Amino acid sequence: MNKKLLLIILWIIIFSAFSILPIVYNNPYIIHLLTGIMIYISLTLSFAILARTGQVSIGQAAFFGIGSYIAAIICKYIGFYPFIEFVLAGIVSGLFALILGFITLRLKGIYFSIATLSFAQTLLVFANMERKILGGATGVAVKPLFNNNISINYYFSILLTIIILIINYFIFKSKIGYASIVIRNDERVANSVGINPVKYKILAFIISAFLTGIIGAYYIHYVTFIVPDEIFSTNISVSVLAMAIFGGLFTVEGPFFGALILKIIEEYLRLKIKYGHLIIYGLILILSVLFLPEGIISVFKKMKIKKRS
Amino acid sequence: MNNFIQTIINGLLTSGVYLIVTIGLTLVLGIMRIVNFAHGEFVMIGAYITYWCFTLLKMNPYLSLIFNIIILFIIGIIIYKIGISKILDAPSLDQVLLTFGFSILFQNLALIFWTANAYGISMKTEIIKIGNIQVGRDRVIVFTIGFLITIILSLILSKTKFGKTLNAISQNRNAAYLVGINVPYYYMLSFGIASALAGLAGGLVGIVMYTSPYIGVKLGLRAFAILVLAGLGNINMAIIASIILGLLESFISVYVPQGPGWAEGLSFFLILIILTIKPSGIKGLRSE
Repeated sequence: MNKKLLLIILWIIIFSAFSILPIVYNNPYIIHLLTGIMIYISLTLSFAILARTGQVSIGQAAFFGIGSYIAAIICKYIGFYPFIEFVLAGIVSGLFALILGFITLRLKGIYFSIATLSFAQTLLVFANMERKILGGATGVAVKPLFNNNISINYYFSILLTIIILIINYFIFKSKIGYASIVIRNDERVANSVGINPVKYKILAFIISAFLTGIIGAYYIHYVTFIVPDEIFSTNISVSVLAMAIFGGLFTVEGPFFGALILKIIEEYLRLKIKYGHLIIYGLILILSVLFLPEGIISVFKKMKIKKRS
Repeated sequence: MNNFIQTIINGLLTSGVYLIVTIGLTLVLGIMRIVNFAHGEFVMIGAYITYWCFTLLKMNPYLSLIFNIIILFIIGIIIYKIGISKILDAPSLDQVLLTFGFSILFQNLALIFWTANAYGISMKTEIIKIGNIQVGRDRVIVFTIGFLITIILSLILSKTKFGKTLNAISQNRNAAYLVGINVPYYYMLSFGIASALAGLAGGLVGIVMYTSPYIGVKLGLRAFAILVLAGLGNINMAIIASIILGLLESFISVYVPQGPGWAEGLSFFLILIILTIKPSGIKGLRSE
């Protein structure tokens, strides 16, 4: 009980600090960067729900893009209804995950990764080539939320992050969370203790895609313009993957801090070097797998245990 | 009619490049059960080596293939030693993450060193004309090398003692250990050979296509499509699969409106379709 309370206080402090930042540094660049960090934290947390079942998607950008396009299309052809857009973006992304989940059910590990990567790439080519509705490579313009006020947008992104964080905790402690651990370790064991791996894998996939779709819908209203090469970019899938692994996939706090730290490093590198700042994600993936398989969060946990003993 | 034949020939010639890119990937998968996501980046490095040898040293591009093979063999051994050998028994999740990490690392290193620009070798290419059909001489040479190497490799794997050893390891690693085969040594060697093949492929790509940091991703994903179509780890079927992909792309490029754009997405679409209806590919190992 005490530990739980401590955790809640810790989160309140962290998010309060984030809320105060734009007041201290009233600089559009900083606020824009912070909003980007929040969006990536949300994406990484959504990705982690799926990845905990042992299925590594290299195509998270697909659901991000589907969400973006649903929002953009509704905004362009029907009208500006942000709430409906968000819900529909989530539902359509979830439906795609359901279908893709059934297709890839028979496949394990590596084939799932290849399938998700191909899915995102197929959508990218389709979005680039379809000119009548999706606007082809030139994309679609979207109306901004909150009159394009960057501070309100930032607070909204914090709200989104908090909601997804809470959902993450619930799922982590729910039957899906426990089933994920068993499925990840051995599907046969899962079957023998009465866990249906198929059901939970698809469920995790749908939830993950649903949340990613909503973030996509929000993101497109934030940047107000859809560019297929950007939203279906492998860079999104890659960074989300590296952030989750680096932070520590098998905790809720891990993906949060992983995304926070790596996004800052990426931004620093982006300003320093002209091309190839994504090199950090490659390095982090390699080093994490070889030396820190449980992520940076495990280092803190070990330090805590040492202090106690 | 001429257009039709030209389309077939173009497709076939492209398939030679795809094939040579794929066989290294197939070799590693067949023997070590690892899908190397960084394979495409090895191809890219090979393409750059050929480009720089040609531009700086004025070397004949075909001669530089020897350097490609040697350099990429060494790179392959290093990658195996510092990375792959550590995760042989790890869950497939780690294999994806590690090789994918190397892929991103190399791609961005290329971006840092050589920017995002695409370079091509400006070499005078003789054009062979048969009636109204035109074929670049270099494309024919590249095609021939691609198929010859594949056939030689296939023969080595089935006829020689070395090949039989690799087959034994592929079928049952523990049993291979028991009969006294030095499995880690052969793993290292096959990873090195696969990387050298990627280097060779890269050189050929540099000669008939172009060089850019993204060429690895482009070709790597096509290699995956061929791999999946062929049935994973099956070299002979990879020949047929690469011809199918080459021809399909060529026909879509020519006969579909805005064809080249759509052809770009064909390989991904194929992967999805095959994984949906027949994960075991045309023929071959049942996918795990």
